[in-house]
Amino acid sequence: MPALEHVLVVNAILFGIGAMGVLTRRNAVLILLSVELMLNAVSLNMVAFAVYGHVDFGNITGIVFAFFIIVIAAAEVALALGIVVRTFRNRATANVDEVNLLKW
Amino acid sequence: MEDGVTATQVVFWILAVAMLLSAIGVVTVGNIVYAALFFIAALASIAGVYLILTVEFLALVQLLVYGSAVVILILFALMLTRARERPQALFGRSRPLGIAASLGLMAALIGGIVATTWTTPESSAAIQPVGLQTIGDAIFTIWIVPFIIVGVLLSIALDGAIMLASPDEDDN
Amino acid sequence: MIWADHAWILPAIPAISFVVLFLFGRKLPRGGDFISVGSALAVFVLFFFVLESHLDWLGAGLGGIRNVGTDWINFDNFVVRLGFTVDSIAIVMIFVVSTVALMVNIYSTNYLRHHGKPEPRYWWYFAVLSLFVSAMLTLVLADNLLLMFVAWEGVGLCSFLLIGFYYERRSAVEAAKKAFVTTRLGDVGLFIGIILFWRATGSFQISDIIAAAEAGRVNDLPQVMGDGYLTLSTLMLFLGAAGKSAQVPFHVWLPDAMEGPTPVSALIHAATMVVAGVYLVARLLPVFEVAPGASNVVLAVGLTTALLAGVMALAQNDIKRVLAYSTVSQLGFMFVALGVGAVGIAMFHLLTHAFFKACLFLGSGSVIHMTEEQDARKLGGLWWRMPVTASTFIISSVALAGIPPLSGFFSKDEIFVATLGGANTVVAILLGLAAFLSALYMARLVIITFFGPAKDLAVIKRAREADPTILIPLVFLTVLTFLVGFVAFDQVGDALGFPGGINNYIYFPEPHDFHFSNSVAAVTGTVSLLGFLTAWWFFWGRNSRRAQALRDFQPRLAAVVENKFYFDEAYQWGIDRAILPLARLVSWFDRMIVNDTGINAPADATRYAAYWLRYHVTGRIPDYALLMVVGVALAGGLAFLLRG
Repeated sequence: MPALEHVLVVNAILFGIGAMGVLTRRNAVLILLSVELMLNAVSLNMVAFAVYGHVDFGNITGIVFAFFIIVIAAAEVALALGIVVRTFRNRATANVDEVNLLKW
Repeated sequence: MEDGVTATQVVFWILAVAMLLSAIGVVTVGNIVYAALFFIAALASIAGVYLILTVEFLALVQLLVYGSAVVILILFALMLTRARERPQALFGRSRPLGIAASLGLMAALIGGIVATTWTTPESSAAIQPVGLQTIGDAIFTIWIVPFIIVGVLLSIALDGAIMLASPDEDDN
Repeated sequence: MIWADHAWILPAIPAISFVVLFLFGRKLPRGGDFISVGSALAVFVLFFFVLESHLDWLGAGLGGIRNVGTDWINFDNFVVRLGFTVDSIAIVMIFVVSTVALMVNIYSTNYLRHHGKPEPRYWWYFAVLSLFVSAMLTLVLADNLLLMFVAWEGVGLCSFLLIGFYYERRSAVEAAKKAFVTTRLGDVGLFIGIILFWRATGSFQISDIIAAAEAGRVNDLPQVMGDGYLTLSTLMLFLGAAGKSAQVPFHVWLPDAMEGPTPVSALIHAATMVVAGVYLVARLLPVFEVAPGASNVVLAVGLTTALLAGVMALAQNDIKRVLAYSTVSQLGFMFVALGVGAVGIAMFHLLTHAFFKACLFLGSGSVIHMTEEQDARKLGGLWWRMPVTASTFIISSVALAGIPPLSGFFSKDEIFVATLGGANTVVAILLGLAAFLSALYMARLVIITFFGPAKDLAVIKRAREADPTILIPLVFLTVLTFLVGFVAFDQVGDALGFPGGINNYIYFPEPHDFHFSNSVAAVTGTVSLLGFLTAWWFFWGRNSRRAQALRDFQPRLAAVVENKFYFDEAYQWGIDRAILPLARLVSWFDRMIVNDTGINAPADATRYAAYWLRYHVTGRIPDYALLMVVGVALAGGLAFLLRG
């Protein structure tokens, strides 16, 4: 078994890469993919804590949580893609730079 | 960890490298279909890490839900929104800033992890594999109410997605 | 059922009537007037149950005062009771209120109609009338000053609404405003007085306050003021009483209040609300007697009012205004009685006055309703056109003037006896002068209204006897005017079931028996007759040239009297010179300092800041995400650095 720290560090890097994708990409679908990467890093973290029997996470809860995250991620992806398709139809773009109504 | 480098550790590091490389591919590659394919690879690597962590159930769910259903949804969305996408429009204006910010985030996280003293079992033999039955018991006893709620949420979300994506009556 | 313990039902019934009329009056047949009349009738009938059970308790030696209720506000040591006291003073007041309210309700169903057709807002009139009865009964029954104050303002509100009932007329609006503001001046004093008493005793209960005052516990805490604190608090209460009861110098609102419908004048501005001040002082008379000087102030104000208002009534030509000044004058008599400590006599005069003055107002209303004229100079010769109205009016006038054996004679005579016993002869002589004046102005009013030649043919043609709904209250009240005086005799009171006669029934600090003194009676009767003779000498028929000659002999003095001693002008001058400039100053301060500087300036600063700050909000999601990640990274880094 790999050491807990190693798993955590790998997760942190994965999380950072996901964040980088969110910040650098312009296509809404690709941003969504990056968010999914971050989400996966988090759930992997929880599973690692659960499995390694850390004092705070030393039971099955982390695994169940990861399971719920996967289910909710599926729902979230469906909704987000609905929104992207909708926006694309209204504004003929999936480019988040061109969607700038979220202000005063 | 005192018993040296084991086979599972080697496999873990291979999977980790594959996962991180695929992730980098997802966020950097120019062609968005390739990005989606890299995403599948990353998901598969994560499923492998689940296997190494002895959680077979999650590995299967990861492959089934993420690797197939979610990815198919995303591919459809990509196809539906590819009208006049130009390669140079793939990255935003603030790319260097974004890279810097995410690297900073990464550094903060790794620093925190390294600085923390983690109490883990002395030997990896003490780690009990989490069986499928344990997970099933937990979900259908302690977590039964959240489980039902998540089911309802899922169907509502799918209905909502259909409503969002369906054309308006006066829209054709 | 012990009715005296459930006296709260009395104000509750008209309150329900008010709610029903307020919500549905417009849609009900006849404007729902039957609901108001019914509630007044119910109160009138229930009063006798309350009286009977109260007398039972009294007869059984269980004490005369029944007090029931519940806590209204109970907060730490701040307790306000929703309590009702039935004692003899309350009984007298309820009798007056319920009787006159019933009569006025019946009367109004006709008076508020023009040739059988209801006037506009007919339903609203009866709604407010019900509200008034409810508030007045609450005022009478309240066992603590705060509840009494609420009801006190309630009757003031109804008075305001009903004076301004014909709000299409500018004069009515002005009069309503004047009445409201003038009484409010007194009410501020009343409220200050209540707070002062509460500060000293920690209680609003009237019984607690009386006990504390008699024990000498009403003091400011460091005892700097000594007895002055008690006197100050008491005089503050008296300020409220004087405002409500239209005593000098607050009397100016009552004559103007005659802009309201005449039955309202009879109920509110003659029989009930204006005597609330008398009632308040009567309730708290033990406090007034303990407070040094307070009784003398009451006496002086009452005497001044009785005299001044009597003189002013002489030079008025509007029937209702003469009656209004006469009311002010008679209220002065009551305060004189209170000033010498004779509660029972003041309440007795209140009782008799309520009936004959209500009858006079209703009679004048009958004249006004039929002739549509209320200037006495244009009336005249009405007695054979309106015999019932004329005879009831004349009988009530005679009662007011104090001719035996009508009720006014007994009560006024009592006041003289009490004054001679309690004060000095000068007061009694001045009071005699006021009594002479009341006989004079009432006789003058009767002569120029009902006798002599008709001065205006159009008016006299319209004059004929009114409907029974108007005449029945008149006759009923006249009968009461006849009979009520005799209850002063202990034998009569005893026969009616009041143990030991009515004067023992009404509580006295030191029992005053009914001193029917032949010599005093002879003097007061003579004074009244003298008043009548003087009126005949000056106003009867062609004798009025003598009045004219008198006016011409001293034109400036006559002008002073006719202009009511220039009270209104003086107030107007004060308002123009002092209050309005002050108001302008306050208004300027409010607009410039409070509003522009205090409120608008920060608002403007916020707006300008926002105008420039908003540019950091780009609306682009990537920017938000970037800032969020930077923030999280910084927070994480900070946590890492500060990890200890």
